[in-house]
Amino acid sequence: MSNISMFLSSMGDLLTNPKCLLLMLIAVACGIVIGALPGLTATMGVALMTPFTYGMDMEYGLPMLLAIYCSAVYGGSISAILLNTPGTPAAAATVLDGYPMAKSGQAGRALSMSVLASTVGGLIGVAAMILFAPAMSKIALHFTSAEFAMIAVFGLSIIVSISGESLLKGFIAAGLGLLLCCIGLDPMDGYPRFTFGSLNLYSGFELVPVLIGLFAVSECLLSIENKEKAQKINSKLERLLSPLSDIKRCMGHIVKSGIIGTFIGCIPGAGSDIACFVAYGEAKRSAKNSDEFGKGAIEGVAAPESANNAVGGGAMIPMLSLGVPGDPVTAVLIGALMIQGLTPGPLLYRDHQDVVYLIFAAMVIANIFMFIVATAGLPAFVKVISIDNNILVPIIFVLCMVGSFSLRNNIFDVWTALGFGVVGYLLQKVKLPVSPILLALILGPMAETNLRRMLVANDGSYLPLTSPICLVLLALSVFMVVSTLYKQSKSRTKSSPS
Amino acid sequence: MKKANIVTGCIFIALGGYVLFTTAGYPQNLSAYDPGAAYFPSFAAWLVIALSAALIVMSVMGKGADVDQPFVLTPSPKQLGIGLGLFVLYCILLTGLGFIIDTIWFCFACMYLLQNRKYLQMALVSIGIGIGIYVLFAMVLGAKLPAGLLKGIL
Repeated sequence: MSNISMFLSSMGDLLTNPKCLLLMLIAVACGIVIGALPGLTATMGVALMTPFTYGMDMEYGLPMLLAIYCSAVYGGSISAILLNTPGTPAAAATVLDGYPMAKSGQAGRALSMSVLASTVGGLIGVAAMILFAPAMSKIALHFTSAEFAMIAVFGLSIIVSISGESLLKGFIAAGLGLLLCCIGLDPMDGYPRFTFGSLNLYSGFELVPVLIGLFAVSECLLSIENKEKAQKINSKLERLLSPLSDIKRCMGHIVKSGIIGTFIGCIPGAGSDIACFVAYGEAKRSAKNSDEFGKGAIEGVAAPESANNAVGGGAMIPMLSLGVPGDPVTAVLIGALMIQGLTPGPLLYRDHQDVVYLIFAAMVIANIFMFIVATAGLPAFVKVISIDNNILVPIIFVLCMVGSFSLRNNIFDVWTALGFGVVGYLLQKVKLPVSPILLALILGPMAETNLRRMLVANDGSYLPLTSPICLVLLALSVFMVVSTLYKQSKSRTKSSPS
Repeated sequence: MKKANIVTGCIFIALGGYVLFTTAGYPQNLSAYDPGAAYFPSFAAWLVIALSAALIVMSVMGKGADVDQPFVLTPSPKQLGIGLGLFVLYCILLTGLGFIIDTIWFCFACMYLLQNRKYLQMALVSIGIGIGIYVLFAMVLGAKLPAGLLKGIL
């Protein structure tokens, strides 16, 4: 049987199983809530739900976990748009334009585009997984530490797109992020760096509390200091679906970002948090209205949302074909499969094709369910921001603390979130953008580990960085930086005569 | 922003200097080809120092996108100070008082700070947030939140 016919057969099995469909609907709703709550990530959601699937048959448990995975990644955009707080790291780039849109009374428009882009992106990822899995995993298989180091450099080149008014300040913020990611045990020989004797710092700062602090706690502090800010945001929801004009305007970006997300997803270690920034950077670079990015451009919501959901399909490729997790969630999913007595990898394709195609079918249905549940629930999600600021601020702060604490049940993470909240507040006051810090925190360890690994493996030679894949990535990085700078200078020249 | 930029640049140069000073004492690696634990932090520190120096120079010369913009650290230092104090106190008392009790007093105080004077609404919302979030996270999602004084009850 061909791939397509096996996939269609699995789809038919799932669609004629009402119990499974009901469980998936519930899982999608739970996933959206988990993703929308700041601090609760898709990884945590899948990990929390995995125990519930122990006693279930595979045909119910696996689709449930996949439904949570897909929808939790989308759910992160809700709090990113409504509260300026990315519910998951994957939604970090959505904040940049989603929140300004909500502030200007276009929350409904941003949310409906987020749902559409997430669904289309997710389906692109799944389609790629079904059609191109073997070829794409072969490309990723050829990547060595030199290529991974270059991917990190490529990722860091996106800073030019997210630095706001001052590129210099953006790079300083990235430098701060690179310094912060050095805290903890040295990844190669375990030497403690800047740990000050604290065991809590041996593994460095956890990403989620840092993210919560920089984006959410700092926002709480800004809300508290400004009494005039304590007002409702006008967020009328005129429609549940994106207007045709928005769809036309964004579809190109959605498809392109879906492909970017799928490709990044299939590279182990490069997850949705990187994909969303890469897609955002590319959308900003190629958009006609790049000046509007960061101020509430609808494309700035569509691109990262499409990319981060497409990562799901991409990340499943190395997981299923090689047994290598593409991102932290797929690492948890590997555990869930092993609990069921299955070992992901080439043998899974050979011996358990039914499971592989069940996964494909479940991901397609999960994405469609996500669109239905999220669209129907939009009015409820928008109501979140109609709560008075004096009630919302303590709720956000408490959720931040719960999210930080429940990650490892460690009060240190609570202090980390608070500390980074103060840092984020101060940085915003001196107009230093916080997003480059996050980007550097994600990419820094990847760059260091792979660069040093490459040097050790090649007797201290930097020559592997001249491999064809590295050169392509380097060329893409240079192109990204130069084209963005050119566009910025062009728009400045345009606006200066007036 | 000119002064603020110069002060920011100086702080980051000091930070970079501290990193370079600290990493100078890191041991050499056993592998001859591994640049060692100091390699990456030193690179990042030099990067921060160079960029911060550029920021200072540009600000002194009056160049830069935001150099002419006004700088205000906070429009209401008292309000911010009390708010930050509440945040810190909440974190300190979290394990001792427990999540529910700590959240109830915090929400009430925070709402008061943000000019809410509807005391019944404040009390109900505070209790609702404390119990509601505990039920959702601890009971439904299985997250472990500090029980504190309510340890025997929860």
